[in-house]
Amino acid sequence: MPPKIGVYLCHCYGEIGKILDLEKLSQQAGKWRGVAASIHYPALCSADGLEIIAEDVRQGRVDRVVVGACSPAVHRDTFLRLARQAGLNEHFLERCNLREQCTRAHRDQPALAMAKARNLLKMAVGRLSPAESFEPVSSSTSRSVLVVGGGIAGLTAAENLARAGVNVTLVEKSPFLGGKVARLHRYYPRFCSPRCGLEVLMARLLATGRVTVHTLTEVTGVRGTAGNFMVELLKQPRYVKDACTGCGACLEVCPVEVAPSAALPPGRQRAIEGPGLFPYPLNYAVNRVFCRGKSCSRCVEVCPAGAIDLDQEEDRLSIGVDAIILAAGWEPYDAGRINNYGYGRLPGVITSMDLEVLARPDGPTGGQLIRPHDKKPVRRVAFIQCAGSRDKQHLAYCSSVCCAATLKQIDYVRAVAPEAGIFVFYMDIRTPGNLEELYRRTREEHGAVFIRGNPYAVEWDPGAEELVVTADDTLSGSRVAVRAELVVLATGMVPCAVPAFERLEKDTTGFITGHLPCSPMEVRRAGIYVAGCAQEPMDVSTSVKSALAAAAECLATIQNQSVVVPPVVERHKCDRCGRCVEECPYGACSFDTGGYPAVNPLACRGCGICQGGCPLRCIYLPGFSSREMAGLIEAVDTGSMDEQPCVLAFLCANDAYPALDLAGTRGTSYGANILAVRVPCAGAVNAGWINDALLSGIDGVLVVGCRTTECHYGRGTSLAESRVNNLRETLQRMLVEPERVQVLTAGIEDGQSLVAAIKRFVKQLQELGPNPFKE
Amino acid sequence: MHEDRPFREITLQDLERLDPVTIRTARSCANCGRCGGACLARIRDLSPARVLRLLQLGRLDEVLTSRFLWACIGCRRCSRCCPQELDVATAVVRLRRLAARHPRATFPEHLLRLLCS
Ligand SMILES: Cc1cc2nc3c(=O)[nH]c(=O)nc-3n(C[C@H](O)[C@H](O)[C@H](O)COP(=O)(O)OP(=O)(O)OC[C@H]3O[C@@H](n4cnc5c(N)ncnc54)[C@H](O)[C@@H]3O)c2cc1C
Ligand code: SF4
Ligand code: SF4
Ligand code: SF4
Ligand code: SF4
Repeated sequence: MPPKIGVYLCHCYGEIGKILDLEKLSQQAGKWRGVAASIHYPALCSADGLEIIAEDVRQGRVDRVVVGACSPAVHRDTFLRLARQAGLNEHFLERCNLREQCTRAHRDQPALAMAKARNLLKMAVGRLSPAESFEPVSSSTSRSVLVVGGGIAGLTAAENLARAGVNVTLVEKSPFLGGKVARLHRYYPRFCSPRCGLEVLMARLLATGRVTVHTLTEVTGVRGTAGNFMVELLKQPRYVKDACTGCGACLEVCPVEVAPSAALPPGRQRAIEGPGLFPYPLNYAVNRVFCRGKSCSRCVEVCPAGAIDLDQEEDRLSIGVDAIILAAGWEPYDAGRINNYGYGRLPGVITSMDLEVLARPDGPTGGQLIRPHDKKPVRRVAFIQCAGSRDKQHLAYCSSVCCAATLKQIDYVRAVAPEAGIFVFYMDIRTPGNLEELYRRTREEHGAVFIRGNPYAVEWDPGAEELVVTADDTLSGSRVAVRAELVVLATGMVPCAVPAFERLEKDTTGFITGHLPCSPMEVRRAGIYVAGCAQEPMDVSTSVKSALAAAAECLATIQNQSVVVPPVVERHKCDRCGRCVEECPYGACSFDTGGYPAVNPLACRGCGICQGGCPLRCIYLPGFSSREMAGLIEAVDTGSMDEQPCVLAFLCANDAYPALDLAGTRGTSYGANILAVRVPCAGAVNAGWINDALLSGIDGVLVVGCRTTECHYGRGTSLAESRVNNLRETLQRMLVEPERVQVLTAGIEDGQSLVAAIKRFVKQLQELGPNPFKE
Repeated sequence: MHEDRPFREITLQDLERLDPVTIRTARSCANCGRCGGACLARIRDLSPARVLRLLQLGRLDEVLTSRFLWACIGCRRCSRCCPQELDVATAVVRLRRLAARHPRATFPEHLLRLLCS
């Protein structure tokens, strides 16, 4: 059945109608092949305007619709809703930009604007005639998620997903849950015990009954894509079975003392360890790095529950999940590498994490403020901020929590030593929001002295048995020295390594991020999300927020509320070259059992990079089949431009297309000979289309993408560039000047400079003269 | 620590001679420097902001022997502009009481002459 296309032209209350003769246009369009109805109306987006179109569709007068009105970037929902309500497949509604890119841009040249409008409408009709309908795909999945890391971020994400009905597998590398938060004494901003927050969270998590926890477990391999990941897990032996009651009898007999860090003496810690204040899981664990093994076995003998089994072996398992949340958190920067501060060398130099341990009643000094190794009372404490941070030789970035953490620790010190002198060496005190109150309190109420300068050195005075910190106080312009028994290095955060995910894209600081700021929670591989300090340094409340955000994004994907319609593969044409599989930035495209490419709708982001690279043009997004693109290209009337070269411009929908809209709206005029086609990404432009366009007499072709570092899909613009370069050789062989194709980049605000670049291109085309293939 | 190093050790003992209000003002100062910019005193070996900074570092002597303390005209611009709402001017005036008794007091000659005439 031949298509029945309806062409609807909008006056936009005069914005379009005053410049274009819509009566004439609609009469002309009415005569084109395939057009069954053609009308114009004051405002198509008004309720009555929409009703006219809907009624035509419902009565069967038309089955495809061209809306000649504003830019497709505006009123998107209005016309999508119209299609849905009228029962029209949304791919049968084509928007034609007669406002931003026609009457607004060319208001001074109505005759040329008419020619352009005619061209744009013909292209829309030409493309729509052979269009196919697409149904959104929905695949039912089992809905399960892997969470890597059992810190506050991982637990929060797991709990929320589980409450939403998702089955969660939580993998934690260490023997116990809670991450760093479980090791803090108290946490700002409220100074509550971390235990309390974790307990509430844990109770809710357990209540869901949907979370399977694997401690002492790491991910060793990941295969597959969103909706279909296969994950390999390696579980280390705990050597203590669930029968453990947590009595601690083993601790009394274990002969191996373990120091909590390089700067702290052993306290109660042994080769067999208990869970501390946050007992999940309750059973103890033997640390096989320190344990002397079966030859010792003292704990085995003493355990009243018979829970210890030193014969346990490691275990491997593999599970299938729909999505993955990475929440492996952070570890402190190695303070021993900051040479002039003497960590691990000078007694009394500790890190801020060490101070958290010291401050705790279950710490090696029982929470007292005495120097850990010689029990000397601490009369003066010096804190060194940015120890190894914002320093190109160590960590070039700010870890954002250390200032507030130090201010909090000043509170710890004051609580047990009201008379102690407290000194803080700093470069800047960064306490955004309410944390400023902490800063105020430490000065006013705790009398801490702030010295603005990064210390040059920490030295040991053997006579006084004290540490001496020296720095230049840049506020008073004088060199100062502070004597102290304890020096606390506020070291920064580095991301924990998760070897199975090493290949994910990282930012310059080494943390794994998504596309900032558009899609920060999803990394460049669809279906993998990042939460908490695995993403960047942040405090607890921000970690919780980021975990909630990651869980929300993850849910949207696995519930299959996916907004894109993935590309289709024409198998009869495909020769299985595998280019699409290779180039898809999301790993969404893979070979099916028959060896043909198949796209996973959950993983696909609709970038169209696959269609851009396909040599046979047999994989394509809706609207971009070779028939549709041929219809569009053939419809262009290359001779209507008043001697101006005719240019087909493929503009990326993210930045370039709105940039040209903006230029038009601001009244920046450019030639009416620029015919724009909106593509999802510069990488979606197939070289075959460019070839066809030039062979059909179009004078020049532009591909405009985002700046290479800003491409929403990673490599789209660079791929476009290399594909165009390859095409140039072919063109040369056909005696078409390769300068007739150009790739440009534009940011969304760059309307002016884009127009300038287009003008340069047009000038270059004028110098080349008309396309040799022009009839 | 070696004797020959020109590092000044920070000790806060001197501050015990100050009254609690002045101590609190000094501690609370965030070193923004705004008062220093506002001050109308003509002798500038120190400024209100620098006075508080030296107090924070325990260097009371330098404050008490400064000529600035006596140059303050009591305009109170410093107190009015302080973002921490500290009464800097009052602190300056109170410091004069200690300064007058300092062995190396710099009680200005013109004032002396004025008082003695
Ligand atoms: C000195 C100091 C004091 C602080 N005090 C405060 C405070 O008072 N208030 C506040 O809000 N914030 C504070 N913070 C920040 C706080 O520690 C973090 O915000 C918080 O730990 C982030 O939680 P997380 O879950 O992202 O990471 P983590 O707490 O690091 O948890 C990550 C978990 O993942 C596990 N893991 C790591 N690698 C793997 C792997 N490969 N496979 C499986 N599991 C893995 C780890 O064992 C850990 O259990 C402080 C930070 C410092 C440095
Ligand atoms: S067997 Fe290992 S954990 Fe048990 S007491 Fe001996 S050293 Fe300690
Ligand atoms: S459209 Fe993009 S994301 Fe989807 S399969 Fe093709 S290349 Fe992959
Ligand atoms: S009151 Fe004194 S110190 Fe304060 S601004 Fe005026 S002159 Fe300066
Ligand atoms: S204005 Fe206030 S906070 Fe700023 S330097 Fe002066 S006293 Fe300190």
